[in-house]
Amino acid sequence: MVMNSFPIKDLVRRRLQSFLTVLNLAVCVGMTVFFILFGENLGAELSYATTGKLTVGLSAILSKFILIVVLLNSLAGVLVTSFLISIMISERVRDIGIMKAVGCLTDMVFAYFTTELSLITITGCILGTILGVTANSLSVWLLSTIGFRIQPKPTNPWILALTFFLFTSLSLVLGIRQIIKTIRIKPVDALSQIFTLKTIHRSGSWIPSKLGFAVKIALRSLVRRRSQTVQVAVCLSIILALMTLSICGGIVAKETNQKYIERAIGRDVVLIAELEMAEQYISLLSKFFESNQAKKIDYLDQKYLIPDSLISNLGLINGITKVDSRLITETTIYEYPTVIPDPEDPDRYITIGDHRTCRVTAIGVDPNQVVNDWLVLGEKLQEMDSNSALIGDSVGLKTFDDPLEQIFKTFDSEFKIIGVCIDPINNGEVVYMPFSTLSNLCGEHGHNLLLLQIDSSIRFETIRRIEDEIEGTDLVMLNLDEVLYKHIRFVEYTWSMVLYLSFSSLLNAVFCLLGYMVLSLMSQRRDLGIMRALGARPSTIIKTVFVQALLLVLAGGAIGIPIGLTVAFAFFIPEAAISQASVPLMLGLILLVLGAVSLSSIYPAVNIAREPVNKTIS
Amino acid sequence: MVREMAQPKPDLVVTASSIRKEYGIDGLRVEALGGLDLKIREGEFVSICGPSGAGKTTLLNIIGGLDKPSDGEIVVFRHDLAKYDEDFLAAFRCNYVGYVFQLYNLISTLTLVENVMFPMQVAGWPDERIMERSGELLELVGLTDRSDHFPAQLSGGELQRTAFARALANNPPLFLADEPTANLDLDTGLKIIRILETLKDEKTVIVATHDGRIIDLSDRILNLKDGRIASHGYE
Repeated sequence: MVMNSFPIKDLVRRRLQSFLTVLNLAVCVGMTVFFILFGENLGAELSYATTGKLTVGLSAILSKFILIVVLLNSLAGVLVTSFLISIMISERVRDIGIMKAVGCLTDMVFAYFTTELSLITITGCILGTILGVTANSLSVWLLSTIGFRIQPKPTNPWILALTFFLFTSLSLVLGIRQIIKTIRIKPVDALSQIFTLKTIHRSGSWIPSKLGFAVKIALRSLVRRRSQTVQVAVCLSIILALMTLSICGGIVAKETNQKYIERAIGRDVVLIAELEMAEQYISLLSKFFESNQAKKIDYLDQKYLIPDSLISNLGLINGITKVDSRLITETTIYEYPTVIPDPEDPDRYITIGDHRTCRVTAIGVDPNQVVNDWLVLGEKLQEMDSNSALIGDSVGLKTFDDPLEQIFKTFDSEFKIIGVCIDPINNGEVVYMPFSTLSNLCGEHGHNLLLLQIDSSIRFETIRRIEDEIEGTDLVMLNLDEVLYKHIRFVEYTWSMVLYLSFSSLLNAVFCLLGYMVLSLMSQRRDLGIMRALGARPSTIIKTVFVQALLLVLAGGAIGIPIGLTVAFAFFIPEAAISQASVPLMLGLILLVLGAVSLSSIYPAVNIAREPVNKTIS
Repeated sequence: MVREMAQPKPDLVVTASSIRKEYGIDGLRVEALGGLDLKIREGEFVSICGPSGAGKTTLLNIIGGLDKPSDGEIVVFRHDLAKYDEDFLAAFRCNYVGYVFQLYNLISTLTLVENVMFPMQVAGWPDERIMERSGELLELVGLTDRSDHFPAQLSGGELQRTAFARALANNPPLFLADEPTANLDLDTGLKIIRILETLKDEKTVIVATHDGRIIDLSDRILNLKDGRIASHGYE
């Protein structure tokens, strides 16, 4: 009976360590619960907010990103938890040695420490679940307050139960594994610091004395506590890699998405068309950010045609860099099933595709004169590709299994798909083909839409001359930069919600690492107390601990951050783009995390420095 | 930079006036020292005796600037220690006091020689001087061949001798030792006593002990009981 209460008494007496372990565990579980709940909330909100908007390709990037951030942060939570449990048990190796040395049976030692582990794990996980639910509610409230239209979703109890079960069982399994490993150690080894610290027998003379006293002591402490140093550095590397990936990946994805749109619409572009046709084109473009139905018009009506002479005259205006004359119409495309070699067995053939149809905007262009620079999966359109077409990503993903291997039929002709592009027109439900091809198929040889790219340095002069040229005709000129700005704002709005999730991972990293560093530094309390007893000033102790933490954080960062950046830029999103302004932002955020984690180490040092010396070393 | 403090040569090294020390443990007040008066002169060798819990360690901690009295005045080398902040006390411990703790208190991640070097590094001695002095001290305690070992690799006697070498590192005028032979065998105890003998004429030495051999070296014996001086004795 008395023996049963020992673990509880022990935990109460080791108040600070127990509190820190429970707190850290609660933070890890809490942040994971938050990421899952908030990710689900955000996913639902985004799918509601973007229904009928965004292209399918961009929506897929958003959903993929939310999923990746949730997964990465859950993984970070699991990793930190496993490291925490490991550090918690390794702190007790000596106690296990003492218990065994005084004759406690292995079963009894196992039961004792398993009870302690269970108490800490269950308390931490319960508190963490409550923390996660609270953080989710607070985030929904915060986003609503700052102007996002986000509706709170009822919490799914299954998610909570699953996360709680996962973390509790993971902590118990890892902890029990560690306990079993530890109780197998001979008491004599368990009582030896050499064994527990895995100290290397090496003189400290290699540390240059010019580095200063604090750096020397910090370096020695790190080198000599090899086991703990390696563990902390590995944990820091992984968390910092995940955090960098979440944050930089988010910023890169947002900016690249904006760039895709900018490339697809073009900058410094004006539209010339008959008023109704111009409005129709803007309406098709606007489907990307607002739910609207384009009017039913007869695109091939003669009233929309732009005289060729006018196009030639406009092309002569100084300051116009591109004249992109188009024939725009509407058509239905029919998917054709195709037989291709089986990728898994080249000797066999398989049929892909079905007989799906899609109503699309068909645009005939001169491929050499297009103002767009689409992100294309596959090849770009060429003038001689008379029976080839470039399709929008929404058509590609909705109507075809493997568009680059398939063909479609429209206007009774078959077309090979040479590329899939991200284009906001008609929300990605668009097909581009050479002007000559579309013109022959429709029987219409004129252009009904003209896009002019202007040299921005002589913009006003050029626009004035275009206005002069079209004066007296039925044509109007519209500035597409305004439409582009609305597109970019919409992408920014959508991504801002998602980036909230990314920035939360910044907090996740800071909280998890903060607790972990505090706990690992607390194990040096006695040594730091002895240093004080020998005359080291409190400021020297704080400096030593700070240098130690900084070295660990820098080591972790040197490995983790490049990995995170490489993955974010190279693998996360195709043709990643990043603005110059975002580089300092990303650097700043990374430095903020590194600084916060390093500074957090001052907390235990200040604690130790404030404590009476005799209490610290007793 | 070497941390310099004034090195006065007062006749009276320690003056304790009505010092009391109370600890609060789980809401219970425990009186470790109860209104103790004490004067120790320069060069004296004083043994503090008394049963466990009499307040010997607490008294040494207060004299050594590791702890402050709850009440009363403690003046060591003309410094009223209760009035100073932790930075001053750290410098005081570094320059004035050599302390051998009952449980040795060596820094686990430093080798033996590094432990001995530590107080000199804190004091800001030049590297060459530190190397030279630590070598001398290890030779004095007979541990030159173990200088690169870690505390966990040493026996109790070796740890105690290292603690002595470390306590002497900055050549402090006041030497405190808490039960220095309590955990040692006869031979090792003898080695420690020989080191103490060498200090007798050089420093003011205060030792908490039950060991008759150390008591024999003393100029004065203080018997503590329940936090008060029960009797003074002179050899």
